[in-house]
Amino acid sequence: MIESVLIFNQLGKPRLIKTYKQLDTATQQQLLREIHSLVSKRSDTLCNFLHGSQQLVGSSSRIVYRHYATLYFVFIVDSSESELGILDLIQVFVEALDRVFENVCELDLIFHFDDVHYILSEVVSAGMVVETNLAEISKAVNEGRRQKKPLPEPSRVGIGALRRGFV
Amino acid sequence: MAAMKGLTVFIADMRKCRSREEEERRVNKELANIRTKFKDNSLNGYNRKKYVCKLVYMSLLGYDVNFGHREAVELINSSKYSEKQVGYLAVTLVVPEESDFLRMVVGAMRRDIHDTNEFNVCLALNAIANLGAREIASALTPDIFMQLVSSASSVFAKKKAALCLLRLLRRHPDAVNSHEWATRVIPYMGHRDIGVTMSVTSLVTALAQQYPDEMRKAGAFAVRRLKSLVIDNSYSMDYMYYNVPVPWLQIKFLRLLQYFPAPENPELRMQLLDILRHIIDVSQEPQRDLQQMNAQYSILFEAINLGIELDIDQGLMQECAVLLGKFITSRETNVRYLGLETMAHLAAYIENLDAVKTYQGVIIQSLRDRDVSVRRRALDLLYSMCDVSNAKMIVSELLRHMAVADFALREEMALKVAILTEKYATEYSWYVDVMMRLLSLAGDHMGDEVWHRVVQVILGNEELQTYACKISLQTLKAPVCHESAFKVSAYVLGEFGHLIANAEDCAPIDQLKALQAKMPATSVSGRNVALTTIAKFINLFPEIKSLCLRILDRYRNALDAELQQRACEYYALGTLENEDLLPTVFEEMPPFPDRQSALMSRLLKKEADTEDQRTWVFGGREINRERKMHTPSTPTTPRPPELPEPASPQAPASPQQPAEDLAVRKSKRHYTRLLWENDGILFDGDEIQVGLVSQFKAPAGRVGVFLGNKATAPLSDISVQAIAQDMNLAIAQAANQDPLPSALMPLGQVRLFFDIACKNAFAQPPLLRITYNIAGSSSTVELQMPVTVTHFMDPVTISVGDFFARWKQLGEGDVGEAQSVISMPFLKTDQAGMQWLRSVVGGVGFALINGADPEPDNIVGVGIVSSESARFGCLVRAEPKKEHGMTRFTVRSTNADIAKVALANIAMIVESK
Repeated sequence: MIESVLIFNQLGKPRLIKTYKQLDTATQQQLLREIHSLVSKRSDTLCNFLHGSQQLVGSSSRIVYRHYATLYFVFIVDSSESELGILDLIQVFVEALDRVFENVCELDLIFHFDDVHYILSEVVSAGMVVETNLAEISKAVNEGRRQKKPLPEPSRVGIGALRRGFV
Repeated sequence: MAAMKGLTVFIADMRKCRSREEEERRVNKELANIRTKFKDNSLNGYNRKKYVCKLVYMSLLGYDVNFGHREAVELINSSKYSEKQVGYLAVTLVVPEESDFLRMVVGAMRRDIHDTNEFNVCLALNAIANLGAREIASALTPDIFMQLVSSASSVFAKKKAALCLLRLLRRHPDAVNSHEWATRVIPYMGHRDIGVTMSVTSLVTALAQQYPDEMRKAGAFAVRRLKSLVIDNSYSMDYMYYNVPVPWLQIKFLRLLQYFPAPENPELRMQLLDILRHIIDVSQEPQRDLQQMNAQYSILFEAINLGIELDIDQGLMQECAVLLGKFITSRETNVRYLGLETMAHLAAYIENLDAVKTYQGVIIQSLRDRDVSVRRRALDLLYSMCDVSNAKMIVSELLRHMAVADFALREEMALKVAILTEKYATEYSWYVDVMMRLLSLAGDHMGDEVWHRVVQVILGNEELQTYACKISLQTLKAPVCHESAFKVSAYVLGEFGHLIANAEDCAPIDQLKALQAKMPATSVSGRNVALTTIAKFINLFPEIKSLCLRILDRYRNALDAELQQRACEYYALGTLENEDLLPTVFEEMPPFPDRQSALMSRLLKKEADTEDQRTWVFGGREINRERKMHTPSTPTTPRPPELPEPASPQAPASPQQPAEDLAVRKSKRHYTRLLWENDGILFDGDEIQVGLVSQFKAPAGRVGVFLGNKATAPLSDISVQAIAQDMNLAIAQAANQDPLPSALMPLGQVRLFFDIACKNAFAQPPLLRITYNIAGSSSTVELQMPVTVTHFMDPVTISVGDFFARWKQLGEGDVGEAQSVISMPFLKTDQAGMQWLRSVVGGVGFALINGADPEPDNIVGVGIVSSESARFGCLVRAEPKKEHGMTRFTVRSTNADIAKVALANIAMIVESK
């Protein structure tokens, strides 16, 4: 099962925190700090998996992460998930963000943190993968948006495309 | 993008803040603003949505948001999709699961699930999948199930419904009646939509662990679907991920199949073998890019895992071993990592370890990989592949590596070395040498269990003792000696020093001097052990008695209380006139009873906390075989007691149940006692004992739960939950407590406090649910907590005249009266019976009004129940008829529930006498 999904930047600023077991705010922040300190000092040639021996991450949990441009995408999973499968899932999630936001950048995630949650919920629900077909994911998100009244698109300035894929 | 201007401005403001203090000021200002806005009843939906969104954003940044829950709930009830969406988002992110507001959304959720707009349906299902509260599980499971199976529901709804069921099943297995629908979901694994198939397969995997036999036909489904994906290539192109067809679904099927035994049907078996072979072959073809390789390997590793688990074809296994051998030298770190992990799985099952041992050199090399994750996997693999033939080699490599290993890894490494050495030792000298080196090298990273265990082993093996003494003395004479090694040495010499006393340089005086020389440098606990050894020396070697006494005498003035106490007591023992006592006290320790090593349970505990059961653990074949046999099929049902208690002579009719009934009867007795006493035992089972200490100050209360381990093995994964059964009672874990320890040793005790608030009159006492793991199987104990509405009742004295005026007044409404006649035969004979009856009525919380009732034997009393929202008067009248041995009790209150509960409590207590 996926226990939590975190997105943060190189400085450790949170962009998304979603835990599939409820944690209070303070614990969430502590988790974020712990993971950030573990992950940010690893070079990109090391593997994408880390053992969770820390206090908050259960000892049989794994941290699976990817580093894209300025952001880290981290999934904390228990041992019943395939590590590589989760790695692929992170790629799907990022590609879905890219499709919905059209060339996504960190600012999109900041100003539309709610949309990031909605997109994630089309990929992962109850800690389980629901959908991996990009067409289906963006259809669900876009049709959801159509339910709302259309509003003019706000202007935005990108700070680095995520499309490059993981380094 | 439906942006809200106010929200965008706020986020931009926050980003401009230069420091955390500045940010906090901005947040506080906004919080104050939102609080005022929320007080305004005319707030429109748009603004409410905007402010709730801001709160969600603040909580992301780490600010505690403890209001706005009501507004989030109101948004859910809105008819506008955008408002509803934000409402559900906020409810899943910022409203705590135990909040009362969650109960208020159950109705709205049900409405949305049945809505004709499928987007609303999905919002509700999504929220449920993320929340999984108990109220939702018991109220909405049938509605959710309908969404999965109904032909009218969309594929979006179906896949979410399946995951909702999974979530609720895991969180509240007792509330979802899964046995009624478990097998009915299997056909949906064949749904044409891949998303639905994937979700349902996740659900089926969980159900398969609960109902392995009933769900077995899901295995055939999985094989067929896999075949169509892997061999027949029938799938929609949309689901291609970098040229690999739905890797996640393939993985899911391969995982699911690991929970079933290999198929017996020969055709199915062949198909499965074909699939595995095909997956292996495909992975050998050159890959276009990294992403494709990832995807392909993710399937391959799972296929190998399945092959190992099912053990269906030895040839295939050997082939896998070769493949894995290639992987562990791969340039890709990810592949090396997974190669090592999967090889450990292989080593945990394979008959002949030779295939793995070929790579021993490479694996030992991997202990020095640049990546700590890889190093950790290498350690696990070495541990799993160890046997008598290579134990010495592996242990010495691990010891050599210990000095440079990561700190995070050392404890585990040390534990593993200790276990391997004990398990595979063929020479006594090797065991002692290795353990002493281990203690010196890694003593700082190990718990006391390791040196305790060494002492236990030495005490239990006579052949070891002389050699151990020699090494102990050497260790003490070495220039540096680690604390744990010092303790072992001191202990061993104290017990067996006489065995070497005639050897050269080992005379009693040498032993004492070596010990004494190291004492100043060791910690207090080390010196404590040393003092005991010195006292034992007095007994063993009368020739050095005076020296020993001199040392003890010096420690009589030690600052540390424990040291001082030991020194004083030992000194007193040594200088007694009566010389018989000393030899009796310091007689040789008997060997420890043979029991499971604490090291093993410590290591296994590290593997426990997953939602799906692990199909294997690190370690060799034996432990995995043993594990398979003992894994209970239904982890949530309590373990039946192993030995039924002897049936009592009065109840020979039902021999199957006596143990169960006895336990229930006993715990009912305990419950009853606690209805009028504050402290006591609530449950006394074979494995655990639960005690309560409670304190009530209406309308609040605090209950301390003490959990003791009565078993001989440690308990792990303990959880203690209190669950309110009535919405008018809130119960939650008190703040600022130590978390429960991860394991509770035999005879150990933990405690946990709960805060209770009585919101209004309530009928149902809360439940206490305790779950724990013992010896690999989990047990759940559910107990009714003795917290009833009368616990929030304070005695009130009113004048004799007022009582009956009030009594009549309450009686006229006839709403809140409860009455019953209870047989009390002891009243006929027991003179003290009347007095006892009075103490019961007083004990429940009534003030007794003497002389108010014209009949002198009658007892009347008054109490007031205070809740947070109202106060309720409560009057009682007991009319005993001594000659008939009966008493009629009548309780009247302004609230019917209170009258009923008060009467029921009195009745329970009286009947239990």
